[in-house]
Amino acid sequence: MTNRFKAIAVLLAASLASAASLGAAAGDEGVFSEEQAKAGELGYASQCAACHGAKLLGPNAPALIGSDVMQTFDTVAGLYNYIAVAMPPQAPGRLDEEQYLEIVAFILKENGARAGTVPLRLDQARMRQLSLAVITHPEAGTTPDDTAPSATPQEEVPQAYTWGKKLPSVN
Amino acid sequence: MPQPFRRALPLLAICLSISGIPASAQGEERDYAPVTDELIANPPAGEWPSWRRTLDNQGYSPLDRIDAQTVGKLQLAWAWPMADVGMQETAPLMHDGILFLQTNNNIVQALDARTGDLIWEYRPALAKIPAEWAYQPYQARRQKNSIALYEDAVVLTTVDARIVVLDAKSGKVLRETQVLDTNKGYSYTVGPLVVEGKIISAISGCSIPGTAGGCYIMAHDFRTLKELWRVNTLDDPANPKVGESWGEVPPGNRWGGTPWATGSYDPRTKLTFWGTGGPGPYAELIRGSGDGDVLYTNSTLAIDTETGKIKWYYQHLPRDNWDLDSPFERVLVDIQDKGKTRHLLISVAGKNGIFFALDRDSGKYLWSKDTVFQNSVTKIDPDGTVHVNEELILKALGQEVTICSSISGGKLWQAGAYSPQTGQFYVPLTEACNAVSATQTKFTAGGTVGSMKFGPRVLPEGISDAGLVEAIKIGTRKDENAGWKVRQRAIPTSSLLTTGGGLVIGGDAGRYAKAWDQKTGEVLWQQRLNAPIGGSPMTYELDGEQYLVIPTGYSASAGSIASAFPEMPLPSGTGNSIFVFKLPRQ
Repeated sequence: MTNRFKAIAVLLAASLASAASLGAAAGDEGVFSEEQAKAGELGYASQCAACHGAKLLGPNAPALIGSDVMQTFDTVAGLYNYIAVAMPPQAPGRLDEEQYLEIVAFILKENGARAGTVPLRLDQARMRQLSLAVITHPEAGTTPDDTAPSATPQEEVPQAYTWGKKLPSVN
Repeated sequence: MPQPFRRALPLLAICLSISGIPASAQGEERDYAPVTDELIANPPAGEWPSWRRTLDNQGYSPLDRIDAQTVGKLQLAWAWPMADVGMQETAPLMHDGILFLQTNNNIVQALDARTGDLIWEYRPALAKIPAEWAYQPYQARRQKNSIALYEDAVVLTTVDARIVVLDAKSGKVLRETQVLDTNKGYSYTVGPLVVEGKIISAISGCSIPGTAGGCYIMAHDFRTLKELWRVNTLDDPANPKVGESWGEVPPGNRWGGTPWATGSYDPRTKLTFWGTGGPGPYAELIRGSGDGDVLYTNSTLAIDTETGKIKWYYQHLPRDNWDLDSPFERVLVDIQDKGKTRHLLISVAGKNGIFFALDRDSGKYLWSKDTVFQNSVTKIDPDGTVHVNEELILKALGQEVTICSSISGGKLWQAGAYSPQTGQFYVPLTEACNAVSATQTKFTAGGTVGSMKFGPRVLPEGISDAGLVEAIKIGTRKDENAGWKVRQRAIPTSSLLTTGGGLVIGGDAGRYAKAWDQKTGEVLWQQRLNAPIGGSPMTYELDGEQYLVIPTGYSASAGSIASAFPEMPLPSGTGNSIFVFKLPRQ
């Protein structure tokens, strides 16, 4: 992960206080195993890289790395449930459940999530609780630091009118 | 101008000066008849000089040698691999025996239209952006759908937000201008139209954070490349309704309104017609715009090309909450009604697939009809007021609703075609839904402002065929009994072409190029090729022979809903190519 992404992560986590407690705990523990992510790297290379790119940055299909990408998929369930139905286009929904879990583990790792000792399992209730924004930046949950210097002036990036405001939530 | 970009410019200029590479023997230059305003307005029957052949965007060729009786005899004349990979949405043009082919990253090739021999190739040096701005290059690769021919030049708009004018005979750069700052996120993804000395273009990238508050349709002088006027689709001080429609949201927090398809032009009124995409962020919960209509998103804008003033606008989908862009081709059709000529603008304007007929002089709504299954709009009043489905408007983070059509359509960039022979408009469509929920997302440079989680595309309940080609009878009133629908498993993935031979030609994700009977929808010919049929099929005639060009290649549309037709797996190779067919010599 680049320093710039780390800096973004710090700022990001500070603004996601509501999700931080669960996510920090999850990030500390790790939600997938190292072996799973290693297997996922091979699975990604054979099934995904042709379009999503060797570095998961596209451009022939959307990037799978980035804090905005993680925030958009929202939870591990959001990421898994998309991929396991729609991907890869040459065999949509036709990989083994285990292989989808491995590829998700690899994507999480490439986004900065820490491996733990327990593999990711297909447990929808648990996966819905795992915030991608937080688990992919585990250091932020434990040491939020608003004053960390940013490698690029992220503060100049315009934000949504509602950014920073507390919005209604069903959770 | 940011420093890195300023530093890159001199290098860029050097590269550009050497980028036109003549491929013809001994570098000989052939004769080339200039493309005049008269030719663009009324092209010779055998030519295809503009994106949809004519500036009314009809996508119709009067050529009739290939017809219901002969289409089954088509043979491959030649084929050609495109110069780059990536989403394939090309729209070849043909003038004076040269086929002009633009592919991703603004590579333009001039080919001998008879033989497929390369005459010249232009490869631009494009400005670099940081790799982690990943959404920007992905987005900018979309819809490289057209270039324009004018006088002795090829006019192209680039992924790094420049207008470049090439010598049509050599591919050498004649002049260029940096229109907007690509480091903010701006890119051109659709080609310009050139009329009466004005290059009319529309920028993309308006859903990238750095472009906040400005999304433009612009005119530049063809000779000097000086800007003549611009229309901002997100802000209009001359119309207080625009500001009101965004509620408390100031221009600096508005995104979207992207004109994703090349506009049409009516020389009678000198009006140009452009469609716009939806607002960003996608959900009003995140956008902060309350129940406002967020003008001029999802609208048709009629702009006076002389002054740059908006003459009228019509909003096809107010208060969009689901990323159901409405920017697709605006088609101009004149019909006779009770002894009078009526000047219509017709369009399946947006992803939700609703067809609209408007009076193009006044913007007055005439009628509309659903095509694919959709649940975003509940009612359209006789005065054209569109009512959205408020039950599907997201009220809270974590709430999920299923919206039909999906983010991938319904309708997408693949253009429909009108036939004056039948008075019908033929449209390629997809039956699909997806779950959506709003996310509170911090924007990053080069990222997206969507702030929405999408589920995978799924078929609507009770529908097993994702693909639909629909023929819609055009008139001043809806005729429920006219037209036809042809359904199939694989979705159509190319624009359609109508011909004087009574055919509708296009193709699908299952790699079949097809010709349908305009009157009945019967499939008269099909040919399986190497990859999903893509881009815009076109036709031309030389030496008494009619050629049919079918582009193929990587299709993001197909990939988005491949799970609906798993029995026809998509190729993992890209295969971007054109296949050129003609009839055997008699």
